[in-house]
Amino acid sequence: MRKLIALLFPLILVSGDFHGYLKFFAHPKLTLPYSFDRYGTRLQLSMKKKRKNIDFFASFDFDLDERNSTGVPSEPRSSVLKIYPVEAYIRFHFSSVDLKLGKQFVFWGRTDWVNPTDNITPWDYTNMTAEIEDYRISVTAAKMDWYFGTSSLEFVFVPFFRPNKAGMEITGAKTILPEQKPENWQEGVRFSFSVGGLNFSTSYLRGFELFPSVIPESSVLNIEYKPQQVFGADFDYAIGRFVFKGEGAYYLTQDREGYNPFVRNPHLEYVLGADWNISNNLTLNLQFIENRVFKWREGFMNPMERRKRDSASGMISYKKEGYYNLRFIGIYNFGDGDYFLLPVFTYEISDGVNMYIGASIFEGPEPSIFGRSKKLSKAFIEIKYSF
Amino acid sequence: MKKLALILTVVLLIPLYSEELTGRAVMEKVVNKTEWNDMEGEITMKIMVRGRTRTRKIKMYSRKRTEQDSDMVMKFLYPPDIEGTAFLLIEHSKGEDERYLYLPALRRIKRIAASGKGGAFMGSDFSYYDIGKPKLKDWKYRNLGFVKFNSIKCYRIEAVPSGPKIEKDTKYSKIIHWVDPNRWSIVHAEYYDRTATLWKVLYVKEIKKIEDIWFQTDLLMKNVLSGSQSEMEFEAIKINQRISKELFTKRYLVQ
Repeated sequence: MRKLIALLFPLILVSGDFHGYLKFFAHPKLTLPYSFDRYGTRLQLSMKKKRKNIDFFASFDFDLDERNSTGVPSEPRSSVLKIYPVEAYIRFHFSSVDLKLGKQFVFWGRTDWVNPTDNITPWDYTNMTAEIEDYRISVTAAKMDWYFGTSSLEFVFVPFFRPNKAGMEITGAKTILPEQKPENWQEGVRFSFSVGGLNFSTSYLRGFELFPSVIPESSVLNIEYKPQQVFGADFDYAIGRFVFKGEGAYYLTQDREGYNPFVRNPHLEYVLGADWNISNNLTLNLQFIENRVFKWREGFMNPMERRKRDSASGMISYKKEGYYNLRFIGIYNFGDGDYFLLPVFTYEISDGVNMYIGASIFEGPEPSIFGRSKKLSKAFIEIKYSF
Repeated sequence: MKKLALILTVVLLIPLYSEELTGRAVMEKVVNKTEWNDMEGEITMKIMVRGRTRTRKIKMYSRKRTEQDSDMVMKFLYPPDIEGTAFLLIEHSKGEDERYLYLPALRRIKRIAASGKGGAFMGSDFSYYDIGKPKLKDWKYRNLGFVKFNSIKCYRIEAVPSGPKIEKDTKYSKIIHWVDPNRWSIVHAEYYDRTATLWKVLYVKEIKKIEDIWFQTDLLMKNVLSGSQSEMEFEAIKINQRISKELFTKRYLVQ
């Protein structure tokens, strides 16, 4: 990879057609002694080339972390320069078909923050900050979109599986990723259409769970990513100042009969909600989320599982164009009382220069979803100059 | 003597006749002076709030899809942090308009709720109504007579909403237009809010003849209540270029 970057970097500079940003970031923990989770600087360089019906896009991050303790606990807290691609792809445009090959983000679904159909692009929960690019991890994929009328058909192939970065590593456990072979390619298809102002999609994905199953074997714990099939659907519809949206998916997991307590049972998750454009500056999004586990068998269930989990999410945003934006995002699980909060204040210092101040807060009882992630809570301040 | 009286009567009546154009007739000349099917151009928008000026550069395409409905797509070119952000508006005279926003940072097209015609256009002091082509049937017009504005003899036309729905949607209780009869262009306007208080004042700083049609190419809108102001400058305007309908799709937003 470093060789590839070494080859591409001069190309980016020589092309002259590059843009990107320089960002200073400081992410202190929210608990004593308020040590820095991350503290450093990033240079992102991106190059975009367009030639007739072919686009080429490459974007690389150069991270200089003065402090970095995320992810693996044993990682040394030292000044480290990391170079990695954010995206790098070639896109071909034909009359009714687009073909995109390479490292890219593939997002499915229409709801906000909780997307049951969005199971291709993993999350980096260790780096939940102001910008989504910082906490979603692109995948190497081939993606084809075929457009006809007001409909489209999307095919996605992901040869190499990438899991979520959950930041909950178990010391001594062995991580087993799906073997790299054609049977383990992830394949997805999504059909979208619009009729009378209603946008609707149905999707199917054969892939792997982004969160692992922890399976004891002899005296060690295996962290395994189990196969699953996901059947999804989503919609949105606008009436006046409201956009109503919904999204749901049925997950057909490996433990189809529910007898294996270490592997997830088949389950259904759906989200129903609406955006409300209260005024020019103020928008509100509220959603109800339900997750139902099937084949529930007492004595065979993981203690962290819930037969039915109801949650709510909300986002309120106040924006003064060209000045500042205050956004507050929250997800609350009714059963366990755990929650996630992400308040972000964005201040536009000048054209292309922004400051972000906020926090990502995971809170709740220890065995709950967000309670388990307490140690990932942090504040953040970032100053970004885009060019 | 009778002949002289007749001639005098005719001569005196000519200006009276022209003044007798109804408010609606004047606005018809303003609104229908051009027949365009599609248009493209670049907009430089300056938003001035509390002594700060923020600049946005936008590439804009528009087309008439049907006699009543238009489509519009806008892509931000500047500043770099929002470059690539794109907005698509698909109008439906029967039913809800469709609005989509592509945010490159999110890599997603998001459907957004309408904020009514009175909603701020890209956070500026212009509303969607201000930048669109007014529908004559939505307003009752009254000719308030001639008045000099910047040494131009202009019609002063009062427009009031034809019903409460239009008033609620545009947030205007009244608009006074100053219309230059030589170019059939609005050269100045005052906008009153729903409490009949003067809210915004439009200054048309430049009108250019492009392909035989007079276009307002530099507009300044001052919000007298908040003190903010926004300026929109249009450049590289081209009309009837047979713009591909593919541009007015969600597919184009991400490209």
